[in-house]
Amino acid sequence: MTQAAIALDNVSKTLARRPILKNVSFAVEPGDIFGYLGPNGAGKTTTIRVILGLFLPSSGRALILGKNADCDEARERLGFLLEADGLYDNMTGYENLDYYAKIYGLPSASRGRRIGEMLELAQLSDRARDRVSAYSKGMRQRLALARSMLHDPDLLILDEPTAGLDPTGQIEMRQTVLDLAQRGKTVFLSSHNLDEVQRICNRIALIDRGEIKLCGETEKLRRDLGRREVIIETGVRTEEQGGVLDGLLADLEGLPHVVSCQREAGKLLIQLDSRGDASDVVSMLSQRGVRVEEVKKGETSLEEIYARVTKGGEG
Amino acid sequence: MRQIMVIAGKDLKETLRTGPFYIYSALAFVFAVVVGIRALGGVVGGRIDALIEEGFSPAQVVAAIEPIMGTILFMFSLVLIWWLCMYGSLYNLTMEKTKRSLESLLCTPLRLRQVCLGKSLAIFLPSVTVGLLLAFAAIAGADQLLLAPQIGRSIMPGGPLVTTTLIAVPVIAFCFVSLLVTLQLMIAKIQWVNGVLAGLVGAVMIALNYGLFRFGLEPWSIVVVSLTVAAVLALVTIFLFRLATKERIVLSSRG
Repeated sequence: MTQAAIALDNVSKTLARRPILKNVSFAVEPGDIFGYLGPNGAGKTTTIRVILGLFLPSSGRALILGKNADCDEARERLGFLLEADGLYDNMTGYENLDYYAKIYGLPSASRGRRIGEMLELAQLSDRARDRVSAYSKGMRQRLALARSMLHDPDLLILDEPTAGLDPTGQIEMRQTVLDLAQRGKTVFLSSHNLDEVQRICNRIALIDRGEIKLCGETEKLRRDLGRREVIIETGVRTEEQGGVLDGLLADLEGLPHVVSCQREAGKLLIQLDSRGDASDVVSMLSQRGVRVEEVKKGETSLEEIYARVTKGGEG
Repeated sequence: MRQIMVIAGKDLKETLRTGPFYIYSALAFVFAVVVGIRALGGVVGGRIDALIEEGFSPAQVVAAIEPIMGTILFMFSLVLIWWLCMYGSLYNLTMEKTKRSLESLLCTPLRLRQVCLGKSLAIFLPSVTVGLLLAFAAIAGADQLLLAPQIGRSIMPGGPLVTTTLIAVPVIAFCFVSLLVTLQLMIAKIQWVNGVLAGLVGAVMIALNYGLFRFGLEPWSIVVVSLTVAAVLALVTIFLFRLATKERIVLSSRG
């Protein structure tokens, strides 16, 4: 059995007598791009601080690459990009990286080369001698990411890595994360950007009010938890005929697996749960003499699942 | 030790690149000129006049004034160093906490002890260097411009007193800075830090004055009193450091 890159086992954290994390458990496997989602104040940052060894759990265990999160060995193999980039404005890009390279104990013989590679990766080689105070938000974010990879860590913790970036910057950042995963790195990514998470994360966890509400493979969660929307174009054209459809709505909602049903002129918008099938609806319509012209199926987005879970609806 | 020097080196480099460091140093220079040359020259000059009127020979005046000059050098360098430390700690640590760069640093394999010592050294080194230089320059200026013309010869503190200052002042200053850094790492509100700093300076000055008044102005008493004060500061630092955790530092870094 492979060792989890991150393993949180019933971690609870109380700050100023307020429970911030409540029995949080999840595991991030090596090679995962793990998305960590949740609304503001849900406990994402606290979780990250526990993983980074900044906070000790009030109860439970946090293991990073098999070691306690607060031990030096764990932190040596971990890179991070926090919400505040933590760069030094009065120092140049090169000096910022050099400082962290020394802290991580990179040998002086290879330090310059490694910093050069990272600057190249961050596309900042030509601005390496400029002070960071003159950098744009995107450049700062790229430099902070380069800093996190200086010591070639096995695990990267990225807190909102695309926040404040323009669309091009966001695309580049996502590509960098995918490249890292291809090179066998594990990425733990906290984000508000659900589209981004859906695109690049193979596994996700959703935290709300300090509790993990969902955890698993992104696609499987979408399949299992998603409500599918079905749009049925009927032959109904007049408002008088529309009344017939209105009369059918209650019956359609009574069908198994139908969550909701709405009429928009001659169209029926039907939401089915994960096990629902449009065929029952089509059968009923045919039985009642309504001609079905077209059935369109919609996909469930992570956003929809997120909204439902964080609003306290059924999962 | 290497990591401590890395932190100190980076902080020093940053300090020397900031305008406020030079403003603070310039203010310390003005303070040294005004207080050191004018006020001290005036006070010691008055004492010399009194001794001459009492019929003391120039050699006796020098012998009587030399310990006073040594004590002035000692206290004056401490005051200047504290002034510079105040800038260093407020600028370095407060900025690092406000910009959250300290939080990033704490995520590395560095120990809290290394961070604390590195930051302390970065504040201590420039403060002690500039403070001692200014204090010596001020005493020498007061001597050359005001005192020497009075009795026709220079009255600089003797070798033992200068050596005492060069040893005792850095020891007290380092213990003071370490305590200040430890407190600043844990305290969230800047007003509290200023209050703590003022209280700390006051307490150390009272302790030193009491000690020197009690045991006299001999080099040995200055050393003993200074080391006692430094030991108390060090003990308080060690006690408080045990309460300093990464969690406390991160939580006190909000805003």
